[in-house]
Amino acid sequence: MADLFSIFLTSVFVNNLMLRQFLGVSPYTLLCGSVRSALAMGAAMTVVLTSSSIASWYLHRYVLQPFGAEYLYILAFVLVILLAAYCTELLLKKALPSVYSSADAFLPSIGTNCAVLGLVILNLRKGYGLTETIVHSIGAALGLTLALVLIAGIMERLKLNGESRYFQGIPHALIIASILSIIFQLLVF
Amino acid sequence: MLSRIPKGLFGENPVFRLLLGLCPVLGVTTTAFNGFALGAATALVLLLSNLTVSLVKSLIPGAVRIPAFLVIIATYVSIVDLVMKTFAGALYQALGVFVPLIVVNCLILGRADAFASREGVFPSILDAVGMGLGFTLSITLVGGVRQILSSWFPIFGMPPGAFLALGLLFAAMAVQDGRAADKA
Amino acid sequence: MNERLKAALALILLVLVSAGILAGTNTAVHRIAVHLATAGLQLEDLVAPFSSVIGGDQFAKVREGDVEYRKVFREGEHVGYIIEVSSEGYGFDPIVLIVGAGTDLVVTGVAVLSHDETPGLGGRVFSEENLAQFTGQGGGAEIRFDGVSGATYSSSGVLSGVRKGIGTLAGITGPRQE
Repeated sequence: MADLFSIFLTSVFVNNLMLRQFLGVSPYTLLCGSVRSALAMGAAMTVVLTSSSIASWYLHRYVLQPFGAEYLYILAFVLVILLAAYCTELLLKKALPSVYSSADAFLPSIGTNCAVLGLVILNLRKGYGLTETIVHSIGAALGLTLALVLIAGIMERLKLNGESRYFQGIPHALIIASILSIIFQLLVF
Repeated sequence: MLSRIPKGLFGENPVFRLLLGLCPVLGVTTTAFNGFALGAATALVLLLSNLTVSLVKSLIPGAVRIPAFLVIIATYVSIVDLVMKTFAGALYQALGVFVPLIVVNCLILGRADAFASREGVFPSILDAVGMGLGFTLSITLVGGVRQILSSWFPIFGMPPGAFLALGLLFAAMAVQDGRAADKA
Repeated sequence: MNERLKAALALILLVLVSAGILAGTNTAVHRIAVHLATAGLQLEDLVAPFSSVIGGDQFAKVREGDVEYRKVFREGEHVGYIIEVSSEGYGFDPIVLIVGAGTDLVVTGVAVLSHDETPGLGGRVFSEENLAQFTGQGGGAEIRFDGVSGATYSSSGVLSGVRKGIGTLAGITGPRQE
């Protein structure tokens, strides 16, 4: 149990998907414009991430490994993630149309996101069992959401206070990320 | 048509202008060589993918273009992954999860969708060469900058330093653009 | 035919083609890797008594420094090693053993080539049954042997020989690559 807890905590903070492993960094995520969008993005990613991780785990354990076809892992995971992203998009459209509209711009990019595929492959490389996979994935997704929200929030503040001509946009976001990265690295529990 | 090459290198530089593929630029640039290696691998996949997509574009139904492109790209990435893992084990370990992640590099899918699926074979090849060179050059540059700076300031070798280095480079570019715009 | 269905089928076909290409590449890469690993080695067919300690069809003699051992191959794939060791027993001449081990350094078999032990007593230590105790041991774990009471020297001679063989192989092959 303590093991799972530590996996969870490290995946949120010290090994933060974005701030330490650089996964999920893109103009979309860094410049999402508002905390609200960041939350929507994070939520959607959490759903896709968790469902893909579980599906991939089963696929790898019961299909790829028994048939000695591990070399198909990239192909398989990409397809699983596409399916998960597609289903999440449909679900969102039907169930929470308001969230869907604010998330509309980037939903397609979730299917081809470094963060999702990266995490699924990390789960594979660490040889996690099913529970560890779930815990790791949820933790990583939460960590990612946290990072997104923090960056979006600070960027909003900066906009209000006026931005420097040369640092506006991406440079600001990257430097904020760098500071957050240092802070998160220190949060070793 | 030949202008695709300088475009990919400068005007439409994938990293600094189109802001594509930032994850690996942050992730494997602890040394210039690692950056170069991943850049070269990415450029190779880009070339093969653009070539294939422009050859089979008429065979792919519109509804499944994106998944189809991804399957094609994934195939090439899997080959590169397998070959690197078997014959260049140490380098493969150093590049970590970013080798398989080449498949989701927005650059490759982006070029397949925006260019190769609409243009002929030869222009697509040139596009890939230009973009590939631009990407490799950029990622090697970032790697070089980080490697050199980290001998004075170790932080540049660490994750926060990656963000910092890239942020400073983008800012420097904005300064450069500003100067050019002021002159015009 | 429904447009969507056509599109889905086309995608499935593409996936199958890709999977096929990757399967082929996988096999090819492995063949090349084996070829490179065995390049320059003189391959000979496995003969008794080697075949009694390890399953394989070819072996190749390798010399590294002052250590000589054999790499064992089965259908082109490197499956393990054979090493010859001598250790002190009860008699004047040493006990000469061959130890077979897999690439994970787990013992596949032990056979005695020659010895100078007390006939009957020492000989019992070397029975197939007894030597079979070694099979499956090793691979990093301590090797044990229940010798024959009254034949302490012979028993410990065999044990130290097997340990020495595995130890030498471990030193040569180094940490396992993943």
